[in-house]
Amino acid sequence: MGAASLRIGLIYAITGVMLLPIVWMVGTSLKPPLEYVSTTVDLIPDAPTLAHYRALWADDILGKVLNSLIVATGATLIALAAGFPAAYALARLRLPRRLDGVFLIFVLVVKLSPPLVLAIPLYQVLRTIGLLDTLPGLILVYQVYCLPFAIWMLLGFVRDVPIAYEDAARIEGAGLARRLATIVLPLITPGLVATAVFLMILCWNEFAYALLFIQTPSKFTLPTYIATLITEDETFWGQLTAIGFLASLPILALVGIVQRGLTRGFAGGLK
Amino acid sequence: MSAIAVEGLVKRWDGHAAVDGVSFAVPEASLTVLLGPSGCGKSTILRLIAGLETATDGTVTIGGRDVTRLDPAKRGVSMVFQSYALFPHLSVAENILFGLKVRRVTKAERVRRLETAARMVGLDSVLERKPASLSGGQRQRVALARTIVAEQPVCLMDEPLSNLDAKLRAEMRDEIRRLQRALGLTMVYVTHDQTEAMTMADAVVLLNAGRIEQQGPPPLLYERPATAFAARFIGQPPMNLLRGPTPGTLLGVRPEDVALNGSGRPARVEALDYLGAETLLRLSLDGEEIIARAPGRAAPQPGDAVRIAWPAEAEHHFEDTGIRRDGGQT
Repeated sequence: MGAASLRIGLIYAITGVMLLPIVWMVGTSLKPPLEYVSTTVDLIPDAPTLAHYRALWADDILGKVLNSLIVATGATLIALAAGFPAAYALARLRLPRRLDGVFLIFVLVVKLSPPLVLAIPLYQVLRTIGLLDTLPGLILVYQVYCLPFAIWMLLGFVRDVPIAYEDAARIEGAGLARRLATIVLPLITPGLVATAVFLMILCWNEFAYALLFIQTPSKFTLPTYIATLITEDETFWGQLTAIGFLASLPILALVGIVQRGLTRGFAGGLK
Repeated sequence: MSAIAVEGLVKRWDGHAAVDGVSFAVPEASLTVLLGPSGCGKSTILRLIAGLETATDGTVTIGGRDVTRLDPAKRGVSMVFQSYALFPHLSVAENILFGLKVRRVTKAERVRRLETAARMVGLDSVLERKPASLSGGQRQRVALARTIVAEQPVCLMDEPLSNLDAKLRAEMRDEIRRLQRALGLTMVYVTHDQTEAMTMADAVVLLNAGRIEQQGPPPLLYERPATAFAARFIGQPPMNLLRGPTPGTLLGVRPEDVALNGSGRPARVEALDYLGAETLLRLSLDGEEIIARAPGRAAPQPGDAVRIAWPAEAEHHFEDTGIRRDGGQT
């Protein structure tokens, strides 16, 4: 047994441990109820069934997926659109009395505070502007999570763009809008993609605000819908695992598609 | 109409003066070098002329027009950066033409200027490549081409050769000087390299700690340094500075003026630096180090006692504050 085969064995072992819950989840989603409540542990179902998936379909699962997509995409786009100018200003301009630093700390405090601290004021805000129990309202409150994250992450990418590029462009006559469009944005594209992926995941999985601010079942996002499968009388393990599996697919696909950009984003973006 | 005049220029950051009352003039179509150690404020002065920084006090005029508060794009200047500042996501041609597109120069004119500039600096074959795939010398040429196509009367250069190796640097020195003359550019060139200053400049402005130590044509700075700082900064190896004949004074002698001479003052050879065409002898004279430059391979060996002398007219006298005693200030 060489060191190489030992390493490969170890890699398989770790991968196996990581994959076990997923395999279990998929397996359970294909089992009839009698099988998954039995006391024996069995990964592979004896009598596979698609009943749970059919039940989900009957429950308009596609509508919930669509709600989640709308909220995650909308919140991500708004966070990027507002976060980029903020990050650019904080990276490039010197505000008097270190106000830029104060602002960044403040943003971080908002992000670090428990979401429920802000729930009551947000509820009143949404009610006042008539966006309670609407998807646009949810997109708006998600900025509590998304905007600080976008600002902090994009700040690093903007700082990585050498100021000399912009100096050179300024002398050549390029104004701010032109410099942003032709120089800064193209250079931080990997960073924008990486930030977008993380924001999407953040919103896709968000539960607390979705539960508090959406009451109409047809407007539920996936996490709040999943919660309805756990009732006082019964936990619908089959549907629960089925939707757990389905809900992770879009994010998995997204990460797969942009993986190159993601790793480049982490590696510093400009290389 | 592109002469530059800088008057009483001051730039303060958080109370610290990076540029502290600097005045000089650059005649049209001439090359002035801002020379000094790092942190002396030379790059800041260049950025103030370009308009990339705002002056705390003082004025900058270009071609008789006060541009102190004017936008960089409207000053009629082009600039080459130490890092070249080539846009990594654009091709060489796009880099060169960036400014012309911004300024809405017609397509036909852009093509004409690109061809001319590419030919002048020898970039014809790499126009479609990205900067990352170019050598250091080629990147430098792209930066030069960018200033050529801009056709601005004033060109500002911020340590443009500091990222190149020695051989390439000598080549590019000639090339930049040739371009400056051919295009009749008024050029301000920042460097910490005295060789670049001495070989390229029509006039040198020597800076230290945000102030001008001396300005004038290169021979003046070498032959009549106005301050002890100028005497030490220009010349390789630097001028010897010894205790002067009267207390509170310094005596300066260039190494090439120190001759081994049978009737001079006694000194001891501490070490030799053999350089091929010449040898530098590091001597101790009454407890002070003094360097003598001798042609070829010098006969004395370390430890030898020798006698040295220099002609009286080779002596430079400074107050111990650094100011030249016989009024070398120009």
